[in-house]
Amino acid sequence: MRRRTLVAAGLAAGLALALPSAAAAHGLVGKQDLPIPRWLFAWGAAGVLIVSFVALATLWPSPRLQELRERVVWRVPAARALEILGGAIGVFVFAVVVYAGLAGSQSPQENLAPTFVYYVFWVAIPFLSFLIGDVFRLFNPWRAIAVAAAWLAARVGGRDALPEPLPYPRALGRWPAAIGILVFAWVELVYVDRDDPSTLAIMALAYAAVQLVGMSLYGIRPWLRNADPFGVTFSLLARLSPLHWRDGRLAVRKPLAGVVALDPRPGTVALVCVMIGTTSFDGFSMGTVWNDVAPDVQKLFMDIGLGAEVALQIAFTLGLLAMVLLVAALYRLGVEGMRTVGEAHSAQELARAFAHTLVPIALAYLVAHYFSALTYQAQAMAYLISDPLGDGSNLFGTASASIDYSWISANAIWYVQVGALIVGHVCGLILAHDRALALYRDARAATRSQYWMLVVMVGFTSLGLWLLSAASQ
Amino acid sequence: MSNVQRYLLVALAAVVLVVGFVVLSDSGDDDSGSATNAATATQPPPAQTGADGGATAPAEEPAEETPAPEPEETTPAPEPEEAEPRVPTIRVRGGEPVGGVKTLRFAEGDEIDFRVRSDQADEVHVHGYDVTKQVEAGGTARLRFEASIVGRFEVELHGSHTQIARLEVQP
Repeated sequence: MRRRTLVAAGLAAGLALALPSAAAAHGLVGKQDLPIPRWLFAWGAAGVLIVSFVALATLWPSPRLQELRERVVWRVPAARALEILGGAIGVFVFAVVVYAGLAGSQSPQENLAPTFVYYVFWVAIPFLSFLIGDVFRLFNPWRAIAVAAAWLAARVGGRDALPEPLPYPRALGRWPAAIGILVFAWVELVYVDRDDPSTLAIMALAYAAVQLVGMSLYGIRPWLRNADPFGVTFSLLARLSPLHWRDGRLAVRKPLAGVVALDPRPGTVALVCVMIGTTSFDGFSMGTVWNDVAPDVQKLFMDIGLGAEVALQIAFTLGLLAMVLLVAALYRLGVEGMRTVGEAHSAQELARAFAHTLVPIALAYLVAHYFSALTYQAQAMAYLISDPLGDGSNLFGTASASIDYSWISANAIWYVQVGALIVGHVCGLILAHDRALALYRDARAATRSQYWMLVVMVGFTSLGLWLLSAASQ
Repeated sequence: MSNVQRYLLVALAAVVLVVGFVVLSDSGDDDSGSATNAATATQPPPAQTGADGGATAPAEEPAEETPAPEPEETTPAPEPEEAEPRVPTIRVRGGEPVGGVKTLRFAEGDEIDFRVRSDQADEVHVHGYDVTKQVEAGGTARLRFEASIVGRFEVELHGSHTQIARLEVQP
């Protein structure tokens, strides 16, 4: 007890000098990446400019990607059984994670829940979605429960047992998903108890409850396509994949072609801006620039009588929102610029027409920021699945495994980070170019509009490079 | 622009990028020391296993604090170590690092060597390396181990869960 009071006193006294807990934003991961060296930063920035201008000069003169062509290559045998199995696995894993969070050790490193939620769920699934398609849809535990409940209700009460679902409000679109991801990012990056296993487990249950209520009101499909934040985000990233699973069939398509077909409902732009902005803030909040600014902002709120911890969370919340707004403003700049080139497209029309071009950028940011942490935390899963509660059990004999931080060199991590940003940049440019050719009747206007999108893309990629560099770290 | 010209332009850009990468990465390896110096302004040669506050606060270099320990904290034990003035010391008062969280920089393969002086008993934990050491109330703990993993690592007090320093190991 005495130590606790002393720590509290120390916290209050030392706050003007140092950030007590904020610097430990990623307490789960033992190792953070080194900032990219200057020469690589310079090369990356120059490379971005070179590929941009080459792209301007050489990209095709008539749209090529606008028509989505898919070829079914495989009919999955026993697709129905597989779907049931996938759903059952999803529900089982969800239950294990929640149980571990509630009943297990409350040390974040020893408990399965924090690593699972922040790395397997939030990082590995997006990467897998891009590589092999929308895997989450198969395992989505909320969907599985809802489908099972609907089936059961129909069995017991007959076809008319369930009332017709309400029509999903069109104006709402993907806004619930955008807000949900923003809230999740707030928990991950701002909330002081982010790593607390039981808090996470309770939040996971609350999330599931919201999804189930939503599906019961608006119907399973409409809700999942619009308002399940994780489901919508993962399927958005899966659109970048050349593999498309639907109704028990596997279809292939050109890379990037899937995302062109993205239907830009309301909230779509907000969702991608939230994805890019929150990832940016994750990098930014670990750097020296932010850690110089944050104490001043914190002090501002302490001066009006708030506690140190609350004031710090408010400072970080403002930082997070500012980053998302910065991203949105950069995109808006491009849209307003495109409006000046003629043909009287409205700002909303343009913003939605080019929303899909930001999806590869969002994935590139994810790869650049989380790739190395994922490879380490995936190794942590080896001992966590053997001892999910952190109580010393050894279910699969791997409880004594440890993380090998040296399997990949610092150089290799840097190359992956910079490479991901540049590839994402090129994909964004290609998508924007193709969409402009389809949208503008006049080829000259299309070209001129793309100078503005080039500004946007270069802006995002430079921001990404800067966040990785020593200048911000 | 004909198709041939397009392909030529793409090929040319690829060549420029590859050459630029090779040239820059070579110079980056050759004088990585000077490149890092330029970025951090005050990095001493790695051989001295020096630590500093980086560009943020060179005046608060912990090594400078070591030769003048506070009288009430002087114990016979650390005195032989005082003979090596370059071993950086992190001072902790009330569970907080004095002067904020600073960065200790080392090169891969060197010996990491630093001390933690605390007015309260606690356990020092270096993340990633998973090295732990007890520090007594008013005492000093010395941590020495090989810099085998490249990256940034938090040094924290286990009891109070506060970060007291950051360890940076450069390739």
